[in-house]
Amino acid sequence: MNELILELKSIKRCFGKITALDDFHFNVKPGEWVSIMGPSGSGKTTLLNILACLDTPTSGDYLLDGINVASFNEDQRTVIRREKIGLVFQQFHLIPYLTALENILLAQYYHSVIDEDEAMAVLVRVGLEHRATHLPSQLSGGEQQRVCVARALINQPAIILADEPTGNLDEENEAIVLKFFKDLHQQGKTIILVTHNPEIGQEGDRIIYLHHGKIVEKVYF
Amino acid sequence: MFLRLIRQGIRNQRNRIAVGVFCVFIGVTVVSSLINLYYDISYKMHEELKSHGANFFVGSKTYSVSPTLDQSVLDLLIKTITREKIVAISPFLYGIARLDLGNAVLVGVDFPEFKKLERHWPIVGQWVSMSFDDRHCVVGRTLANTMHLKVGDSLTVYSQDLNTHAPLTIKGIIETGESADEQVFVNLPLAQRILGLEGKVHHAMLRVEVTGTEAEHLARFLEKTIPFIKADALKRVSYSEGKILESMTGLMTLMVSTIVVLMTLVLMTTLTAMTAFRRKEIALMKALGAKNRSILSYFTVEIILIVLVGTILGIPAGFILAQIFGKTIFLSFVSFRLIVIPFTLAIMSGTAVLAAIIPIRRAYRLDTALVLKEE
Ligand SMILES: Nc1ncnc2c1ncn2[C@@H]1O[C@H](COP(=O)(O)OP(=O)(O)OP(=O)(O)O)[C@@H](O)[C@H]1O
Ligand SMILES: [Mg+2]
Repeated sequence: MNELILELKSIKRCFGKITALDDFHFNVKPGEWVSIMGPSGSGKTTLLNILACLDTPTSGDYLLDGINVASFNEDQRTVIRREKIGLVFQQFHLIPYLTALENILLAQYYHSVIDEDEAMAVLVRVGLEHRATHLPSQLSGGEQQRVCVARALINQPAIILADEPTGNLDEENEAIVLKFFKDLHQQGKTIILVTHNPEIGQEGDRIIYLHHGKIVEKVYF
Repeated sequence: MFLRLIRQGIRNQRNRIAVGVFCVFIGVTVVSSLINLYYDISYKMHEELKSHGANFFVGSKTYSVSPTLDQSVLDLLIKTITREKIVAISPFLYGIARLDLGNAVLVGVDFPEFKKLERHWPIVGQWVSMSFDDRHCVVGRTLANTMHLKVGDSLTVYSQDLNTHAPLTIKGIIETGESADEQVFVNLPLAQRILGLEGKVHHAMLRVEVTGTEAEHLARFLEKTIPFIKADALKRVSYSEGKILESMTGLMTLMVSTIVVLMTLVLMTTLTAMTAFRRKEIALMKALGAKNRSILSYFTVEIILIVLVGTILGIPAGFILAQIFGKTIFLSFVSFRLIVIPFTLAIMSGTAVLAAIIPIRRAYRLDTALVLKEE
């Protein structure tokens, strides 16, 4: 029945006088990889935050897997987010005093129950099993982002939302992280990825370009 | 995982947590010492005033300088009031006696009972211990000074006509700040002999175990039963006791509340700083699926730990401080009063809750999306 996994209907998001998203319509099918591009301040992060249920639209409807979450309160959004969505941030956002493994366990802890073997398995997937007991400060940027990807995967979400995941990485690490996204895409995960890099954008099934809170161009591959 | 989070979180914020614990520690130390002091002093004062000091006066209905009461009135009183209720009862007989140099007021009492009535009077030397002892006396400080008398000196007391006299040894010197400082105290029979007033007394002072209005009732009852006497319940002691306790209560309340307010503010600042320091973490935890409730429980455990550790360290320290206060201000040791523990815990819980409201609200209201965007 659910043709669409994400559906935004005339979403508007204002910050005071600034309208970050304006009458925004956006649909994503399950398993799709959508790249979002656009100049700085065009509303990419705002869009992603709404999709991630980190933020609520000023008006409009947002159907996530068929459920209208636009009017959900904070705790309800938290619950639906941890069930369905994995997040990867540009600034990694790892807890500095927890080890790589513990940072992954944390996501699992808030989702269900912790299982070290499972957490270790995702670390293996991102090739960081030997850094499990290291603190984020002891890891390189690329390694930190790989931990973040592992953390986003631990609860097996259907949707991965990534805001410039390679923005702080060099080319080598960018390639490594990009490869994970390709693998995830292959496995049928829905991916929404914000990027400034056209090469990365082209990895998706389509690119949407934003400008002043509106979609100005759509490119399908 | 929860424990690990708490443990690592605390390790990561050692300094702020240490400030919090230190603040609670200081607060608890001062507050618990004051509470301890207050309870101990008021308890001791109560005990002291309860068991000593006359609270009853029984004299003759008709006033006259010469004594009109027969000493048998004491037995009558004992019979009427019943022995069990009487803590102490002493007769008093006053008269002028001659000394080697000048005159002095001679007071006849029943020393063992008198001592119970006036135990709070500081004495150098000792009280006369037996009722029948007619070789010793106790003199007032002023008299002793003017006559250059010391404990152990001898003092001869003469009747006015010099026909009767008694050579006495001074057993103790009392300092009362009252007229007793100029008097010579001997046992009643000796006083009666010197003053030529055999079998007579002026009045009796009693310490009876009664409280409040009971005393008035007893006085009226005595006057009805023994028609020729006048009985008065003395309020002076319990009144001043009440006054002192009242002002102490006021002072303590003021000090404790000042400290509690200060402590709350410092604790609040610390907790707010801790929240501010961790806004990213909190936002991240929320983004990863932590409900507000788990953030709250995380905070609660931390605050409880801070308060508990501070309190556990502070109560013994407070006891030591109470000793110091007790020694320097009240010149007495302070014993530990268990009531301090629940009292302090109650105050600290209140403080913790108050101090935590603002930081917790901040954590609740944290705009996850906004915080995560920050660099
Ligand atoms: N919390 C906020 N309060 C006020 N204005 C905001 C807030 N968040 C975003 N904005 C504004 O909304 C607009 C869109 O911001 P957004 O962060 O979505 O841009 P972006 O496309 O992600 O830019 P960048 O590429 O620089 O990350 C900007 O004009 C920004 O100033
Ligand atoms: Mg952005």
